[in-house]
Amino acid sequence: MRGLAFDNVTKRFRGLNGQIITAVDAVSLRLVEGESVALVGESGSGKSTVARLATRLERPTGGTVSLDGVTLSAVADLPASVQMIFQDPFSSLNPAHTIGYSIQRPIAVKERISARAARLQACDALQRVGLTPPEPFMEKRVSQLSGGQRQRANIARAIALSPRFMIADEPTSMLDVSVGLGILNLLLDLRAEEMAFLFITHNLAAARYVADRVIVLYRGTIVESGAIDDVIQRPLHPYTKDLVAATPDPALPFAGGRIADPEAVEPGWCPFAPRCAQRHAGCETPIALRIVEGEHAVRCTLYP
Amino acid sequence: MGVARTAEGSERDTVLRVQGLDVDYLTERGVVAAVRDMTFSLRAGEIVGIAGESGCGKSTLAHAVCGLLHPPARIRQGRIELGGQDLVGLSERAMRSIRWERIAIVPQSAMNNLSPVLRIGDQIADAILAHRPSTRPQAREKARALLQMVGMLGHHAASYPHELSGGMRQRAVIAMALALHPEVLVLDEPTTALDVMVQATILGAIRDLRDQLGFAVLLITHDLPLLLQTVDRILVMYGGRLVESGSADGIWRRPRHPYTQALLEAFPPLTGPRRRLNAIQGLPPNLLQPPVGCGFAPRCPLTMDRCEEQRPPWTIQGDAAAACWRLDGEGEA
Amino acid sequence: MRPWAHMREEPPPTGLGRGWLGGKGWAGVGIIAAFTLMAVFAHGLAHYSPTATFAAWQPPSTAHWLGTDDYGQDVFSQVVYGSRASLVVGGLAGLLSGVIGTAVGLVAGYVRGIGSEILMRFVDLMLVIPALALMIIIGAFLPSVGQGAQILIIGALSWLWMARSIRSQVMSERERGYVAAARIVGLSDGEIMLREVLPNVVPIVIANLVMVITAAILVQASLNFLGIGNPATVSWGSMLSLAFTDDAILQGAWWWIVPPGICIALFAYGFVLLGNDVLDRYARGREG
Repeated sequence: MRGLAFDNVTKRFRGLNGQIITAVDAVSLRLVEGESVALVGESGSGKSTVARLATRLERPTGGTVSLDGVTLSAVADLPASVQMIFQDPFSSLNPAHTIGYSIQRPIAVKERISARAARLQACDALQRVGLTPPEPFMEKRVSQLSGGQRQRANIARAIALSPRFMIADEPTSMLDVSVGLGILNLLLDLRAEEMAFLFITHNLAAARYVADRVIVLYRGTIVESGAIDDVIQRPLHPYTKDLVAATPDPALPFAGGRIADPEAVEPGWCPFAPRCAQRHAGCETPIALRIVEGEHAVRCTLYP
Repeated sequence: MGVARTAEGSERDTVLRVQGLDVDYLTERGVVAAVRDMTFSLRAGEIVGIAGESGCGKSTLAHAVCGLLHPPARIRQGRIELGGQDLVGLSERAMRSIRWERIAIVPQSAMNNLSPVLRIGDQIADAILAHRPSTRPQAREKARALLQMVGMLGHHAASYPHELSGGMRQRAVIAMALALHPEVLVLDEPTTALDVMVQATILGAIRDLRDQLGFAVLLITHDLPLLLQTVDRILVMYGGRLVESGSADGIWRRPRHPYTQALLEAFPPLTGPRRRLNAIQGLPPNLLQPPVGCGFAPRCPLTMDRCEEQRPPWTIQGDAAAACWRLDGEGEA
Repeated sequence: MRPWAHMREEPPPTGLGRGWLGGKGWAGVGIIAAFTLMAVFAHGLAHYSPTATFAAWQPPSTAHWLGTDDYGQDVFSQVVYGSRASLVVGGLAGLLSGVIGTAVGLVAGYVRGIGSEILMRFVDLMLVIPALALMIIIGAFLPSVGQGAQILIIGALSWLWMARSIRSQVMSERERGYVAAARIVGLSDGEIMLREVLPNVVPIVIANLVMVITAAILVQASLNFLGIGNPATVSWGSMLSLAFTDDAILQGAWWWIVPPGICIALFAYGFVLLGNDVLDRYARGREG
């Protein structure tokens, strides 16, 4: 059972008015060594909660998150083998420290080595993310870096710990286009070094650029998964079809979008039913995710 | 050069014409040449997109057009004509009667700047009452109608901003901008913080409303693929200057300026072969010391000797035009 | 909106070098420094020993700049020596309560769950008990309240507001990305609190510390005024207390009442100025 696995994971939060919000609902997924998977969904789909569960920032309400068969919530020390790249490159670096300290301190803690020895590894990591020469960057503070440099420093901190799994939570959404492409290309380079990625995004085109497999999340449940080109070219779930249509692609005519009225969710029904053009009486009893062909799976009563 | 550019589109239905506009920022470190020699026009019912990356001057241009520049920003020269009337140099008082009545702007992140203590419908009604003699019930009714127009439900008028999603709030501020039936709607990065589904919904709504009401739209965004799909004409800005203009279709099929090509290349496609794309290397020009020649030359894969030395001429080719030495000699102008 | 800030993929100039303090802060530092010098060099500054006696009830003169009290002690010398008690008790009690307040605020803000809730409910409970009254009661039970005991009593009861204020700042700080990042890269909770979060709330700690010291100075004066403490130690509070019980007002001996009163107010005001300035600058730094 190698890899990072979610087994039937549910996460509930208490909302501001005391109501229970189910952010992640019975999600099962597996990320194996060296693989690159995209987790795609709109805001509120629970994709960032999945990232926080994978990195143990949150504990599941139900089900287990495990690494190589070991349940994460059962071990005391966080395994450095799962690292994360954050959406906001500014706030994820401590303004009170230099970039060098932020990168070398975790190395020193993890490997129980001196700050001096950790510093060499930190310089090496900065070099790998293209912040060269590394020495001047080591002394800088986050406010002295540009957006792209901040995100590279974040990536350096994560890869300096030699993780096997990298969770990238919308790493380019706060960056300029060409700067963001530079970051995506850096992720491609890391992928070539056998690092496994869970790439979280709302944009299927960006997902396709870095990932081989895609998982589509809607309101906390997986509605479709499969090889990325299969899903984009032959989307099965009505939501995935809408998502493909809404992703800007100059080669295709503009199809517009359809968004949900948040109040219109009926308990027990398929969560997509209120927005679904193909809803029918059978949507009252939603079915489990099932494989349609190859590894292409969908959770919809239209595909029994 | 300016004369040639006005050849775009017919004179009669032009609602907004910007001509030779220069905007400076007077900073401690010197004068920033934020916008230079900007010339374009907007016809009634047309959606024009302005594309470019951070610092290219597109937001500054949007604010200039709406008379919203404040020190240290300053219009150095140029004309901004709305229905034939020059807005440059108008007093703030005169501008206030034009802004929103005739030209409305939805500034970047306006959806996060709604008052948290007032209901959405009341905020729109207050705005109407400030400009039009009306009773509060009438204004409220109008607010509800406006919200329905942008695809929201009447009862959303009673919601507070925090009760609505980002997409809903963005539609509410667009409804507010349309309250007084402006001739021109300026949208500054209306979809930047929103996911693709909400983006598509909002742009769909804007296109439908344009069809119904006939206003012109200036849509500013860095998202070139979105523009290619949704607007009629695209202006590409780089380093404070216009580098290319043309129909969305033309720019997609034949981008003329190397910067436009590089920008198109920077967006991974949804279809077609999967391959590594090249990010643009280097940095945009420092506008404290504006480049003498083409601002893109240091980053351009096709650069020639004269690119850095002389500014490329504005070369018109059919309904497209670009400022690039590579096109010199091919032009018809 | 500051479009020129995005003109280049280049960071904005940093806020460092603009100075730590403004005019207000420096004025506060000046006041505090003046009183500190007074306390340190009391021996050279005062003309007489604070306990030496001369003719009683003398108005100010060249021999006795601030006159004498009913025992015939020189008021100016007493004010000068009295600064020591305020500085030592106010300063140490303030520091003690600052350490407790910071520790409680940091832990209660960073650690979520039932322990943190219980801690804060306890703080709330303590906040509704009038601290001064409690200190008087404790003082009344102790046979003799020396400076050490005063420091402990004031220090142990003055950290409550500080803990609340630091806790709320830590709670907002812990939601920032760098805390999540620190947890993922494997730093311990103790290290995250002390080396990641604490440096970012230092200005809040300093501002609160200054307020706590102010309060400690005033409380110490109040306790002495109420007769709790060693009457042999000269302090501004005990001077006022004696002046009050020995009818200085009836005697019209303003020179015995006004100087210690002004000193208490001015010394505390120095800390208020400093604290306000630190907080102002912190808030402004956060906006930009």
